[in-house]
Amino acid sequence: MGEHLRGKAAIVGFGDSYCKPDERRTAMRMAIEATRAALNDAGLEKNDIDGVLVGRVPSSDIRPQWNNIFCAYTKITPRYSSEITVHAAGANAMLKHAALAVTNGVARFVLCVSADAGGLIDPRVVTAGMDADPEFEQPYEPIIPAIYAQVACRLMHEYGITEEDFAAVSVECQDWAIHHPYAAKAYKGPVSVEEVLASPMIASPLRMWNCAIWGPPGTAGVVIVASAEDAKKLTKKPLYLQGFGELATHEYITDRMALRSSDLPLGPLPSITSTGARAAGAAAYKMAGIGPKDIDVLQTGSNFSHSELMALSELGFTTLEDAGDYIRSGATGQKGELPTNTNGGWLSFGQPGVSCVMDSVIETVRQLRGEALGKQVVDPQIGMVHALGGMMACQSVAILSNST
Amino acid sequence: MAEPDISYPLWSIDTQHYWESCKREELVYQTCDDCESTVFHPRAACPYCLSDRLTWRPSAGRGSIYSFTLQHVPLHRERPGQLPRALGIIKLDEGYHMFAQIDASDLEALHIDQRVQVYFDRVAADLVLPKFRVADDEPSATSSPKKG
Repeated sequence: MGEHLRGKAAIVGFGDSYCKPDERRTAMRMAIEATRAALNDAGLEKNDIDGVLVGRVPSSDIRPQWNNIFCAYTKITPRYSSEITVHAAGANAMLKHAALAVTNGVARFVLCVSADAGGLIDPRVVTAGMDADPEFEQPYEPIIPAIYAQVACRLMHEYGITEEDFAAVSVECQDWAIHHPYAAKAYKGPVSVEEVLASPMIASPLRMWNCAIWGPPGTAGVVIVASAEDAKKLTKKPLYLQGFGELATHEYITDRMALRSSDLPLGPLPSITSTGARAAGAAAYKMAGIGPKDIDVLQTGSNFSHSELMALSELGFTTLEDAGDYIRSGATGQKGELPTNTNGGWLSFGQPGVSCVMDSVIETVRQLRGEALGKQVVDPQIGMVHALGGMMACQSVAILSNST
Repeated sequence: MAEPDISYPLWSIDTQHYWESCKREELVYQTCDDCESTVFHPRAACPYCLSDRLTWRPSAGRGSIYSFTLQHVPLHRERPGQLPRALGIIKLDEGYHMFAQIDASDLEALHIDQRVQVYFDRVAADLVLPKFRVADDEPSATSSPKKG
């Protein structure tokens, strides 16, 4: 599915914007900063843009039709525009929608925008209200870690995963983050497994170091997608969109237990220890005509330590049982075969809000272009972005490369 | 606007019967008249065959812990409530799963498959929340992990 789209669209320019720890800027201001940078990078004028997609509405500026609010604010009048939300993972899925548009004559240059400014709100309360079932979970006032902890508890029970395995992810992400100028946890320096295991319990079995930090106070990312033909004319550094995959399995975590059968590779059902990432990854690999061994750099959803373990397993790099050993072997580190979450991931770079997904996209773009703000991976050619949205609900995978 | 001191469920006319039943200290679920599926959470139509011929049934409110966490941090700092408190997914004997608070004399001893029994917490005059407590009289079902 989708093989005919392989390499037919490309990112022709990107821009990003970050708040330092003591800075506060609105999502709109940062989105426009990133847009200026992306237009400059692509060598395009604002009036060249005829398509605008945005990811999930910023949690710091919850207004429906944020895509149109952004367009009106910037006096862009697109002929193709929407908010793409498979939860926050929509910021990754935008690449697919943009590719569909520019390869079918619906738009020529699609601006893909995501921004958020968690530093301006109390994200704990705002996001819990959005992501817990407002009728059957929210009355018990779970924090988001308490919802994700249901999955972690089952992973330990079903697969024998340990707190040490969770800690391995925290250590790996922090090892990358300390090199990144905007990573929210960089100032803490390297962390050890023992320190992770001694950190305060938030929602058992998840400790503070197993949970993403809220921060930086704001980020924005913008990429401009065009057809491969336009890309070759415009830029010496196009990044070709080689594969996409997506699968949504539920909205609220408890209601996932009411999904009792599926033809898709979700394992025995009902379950909360499988996600749609296996199916999404398989679709992306098939479209790109490659496999896990071909990936040079990977960003995964890592709002919690076990999210990365599950992603590494379902995307075909290891198994759930071996995922902890895989990370401890150094495979996902700076000298490993699969550098993973190279900006520190959501765990240590942080979650500024919904734009954490775009941070993963931008990190992949920067790595593939050799322009990493943190530690640069040596000459990566193919990058994968995995994003999850909601309560393990929505999974999106994209594969980008330097050449067709 | 002052922060409300209770998180009221966002109910609708499709689920009103569930919440009214809770006020009478009855836990209810639905079954589908067409495909005979057990349906929960309460809703307007069967999620499996899309029929809207659903029948409300009383639940015995007995089940076992499917998964759980001890939450140590409050959602609202200004009204922390009991901390830590156990929040988990319960597998009811009728074959459906629900999220709830689980009470036990020893929270640290909670474990998957432990037997629990529903009780009704009168949170406010207009809200009764189903919660669970460990059923001391029932031995846990034994189940071994699938792997590992």
